[in-house]
Amino acid sequence: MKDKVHHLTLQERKDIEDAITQGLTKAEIAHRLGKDPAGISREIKRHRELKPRNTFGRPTLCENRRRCKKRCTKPCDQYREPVCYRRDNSSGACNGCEKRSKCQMDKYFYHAARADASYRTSLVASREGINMTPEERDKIGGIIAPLLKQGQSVYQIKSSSIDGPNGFRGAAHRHLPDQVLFITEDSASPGLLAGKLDKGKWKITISTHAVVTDVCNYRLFITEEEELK
Amino acid sequence: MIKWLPFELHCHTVHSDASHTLLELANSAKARGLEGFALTDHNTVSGWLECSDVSSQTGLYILKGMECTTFYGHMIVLGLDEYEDWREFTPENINEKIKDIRSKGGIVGLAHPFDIGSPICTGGHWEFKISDWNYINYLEAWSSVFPPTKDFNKRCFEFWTGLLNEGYRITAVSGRDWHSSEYEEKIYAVTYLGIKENAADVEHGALQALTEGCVVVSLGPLMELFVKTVSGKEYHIGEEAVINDSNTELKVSIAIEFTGRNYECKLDCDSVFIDLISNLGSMGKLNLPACSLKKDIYISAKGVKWLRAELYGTVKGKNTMIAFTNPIYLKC
Repeated sequence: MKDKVHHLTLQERKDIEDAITQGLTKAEIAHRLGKDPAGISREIKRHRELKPRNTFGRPTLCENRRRCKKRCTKPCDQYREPVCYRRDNSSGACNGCEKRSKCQMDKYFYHAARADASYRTSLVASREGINMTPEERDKIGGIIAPLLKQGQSVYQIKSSSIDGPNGFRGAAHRHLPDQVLFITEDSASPGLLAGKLDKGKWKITISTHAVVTDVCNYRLFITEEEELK
Repeated sequence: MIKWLPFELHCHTVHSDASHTLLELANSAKARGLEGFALTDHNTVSGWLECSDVSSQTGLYILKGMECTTFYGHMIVLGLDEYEDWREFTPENINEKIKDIRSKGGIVGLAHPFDIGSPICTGGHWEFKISDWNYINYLEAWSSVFPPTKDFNKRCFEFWTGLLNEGYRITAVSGRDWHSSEYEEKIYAVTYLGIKENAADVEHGALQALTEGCVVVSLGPLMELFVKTVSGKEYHIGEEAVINDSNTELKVSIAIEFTGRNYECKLDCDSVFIDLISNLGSMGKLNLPACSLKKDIYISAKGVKWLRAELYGTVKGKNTMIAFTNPIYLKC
């Protein structure tokens, strides 16, 4: 059993590029690097770059073009993309192919440096959001789990919408577990609309979003203060 | 003549759940090279009061909007001058509500419709049933960081293409869902809005561009598409080109400007190509050097109902789509 291909180094990628340029097959490359052929195949397929042929104003390049008796039209139901054994199978890219200056097909090139950059970008992207080791995860989980069971609140979004007697007076849509909102004649918390505090029926709607627990408790206090501290 | 201005169409401030104020947001938008943005706070309109001050301070154009953050989908509403109550939106009345917003002159866009939904982000995934897609102005085909590489954006892009094939004329835009001004070395997309010369002002021109589909979405370079028919008339993105005979040839011009904006992503020069897409699939590919240029190509108009250009290449080592235009529609 050969080594499975998990993470390749830049040097290994350069070796792959050199081997493709020399015209080696995927199996030979895998043998040279001591890796699993399927992994090498995946690496080339994932990171090779397409350099398509320019199709406009040029004759259709069709696998059936020599046998076909129909006039060439676009689009055609009998069109078949031409195949190339070297490009599609043996090494999977066109680096170093002796026919590449005359070849009119779509070409694929493998660049070690760009393949490595792509791999690093994916590595960062796939670790986003939970960028931590399993040990760190377990440690944080060990702190949070008992607290949740005791009734500690998690970050859930509360949307508190306020309606005065004469219409909508704003909403506060945010995560904070404790929110102090105020509304006066000439200023208000962000999200709320300042203005005359009319006499009449006021309504506060609390909507919860992103609730991941079975229960979401809240308490609402409304106080009237002469001067805001 | 069309003036292309880079906009960001999905921004939040402290008025909802973001960490920056409107002024901080405007300053970072300016630093990124944007000309304007849409203020779309969750379920409130209190940020609108600061718009004119911030706009005159920074010189940016601000579109007043709101993200109706419901339990079944997030919907961006632009171009209204009053609050739209999301609490009244239910799966039963959503279509009437959308029609009502449109009749009042509002613009309706679906925010990140294929994002992860409840309970992580309630309503982040669009679950409302739309009875008539003609009432939806735009979709956020791209959202979040480095959008063309994200799977949910790929799904949304395919969905958009499907709607175009069914004959709907829906605009696709990008929306960053901007919540923080902290500098991050990441790639974001911009939405170029084509402002017409005869527009009353830039804000109205921007809304008009969104309704008409005169929009280009890109990680940086601006790509324009023109179709010239046999009669000699030239059509631009979002317009309907009228052709009398379906057997004629169309002259398609693609102009790319790589240096127009102060954007941060570096493009690899070797592997840039254009794919011209229509309802029939790919019409052909064109290899390019990564520099500003204009190319003319000729295609047959037979069976073509819409036509858009997609730009591919290598960004940060990744082979990805770099930009796409909204379609030019063809009528026979």
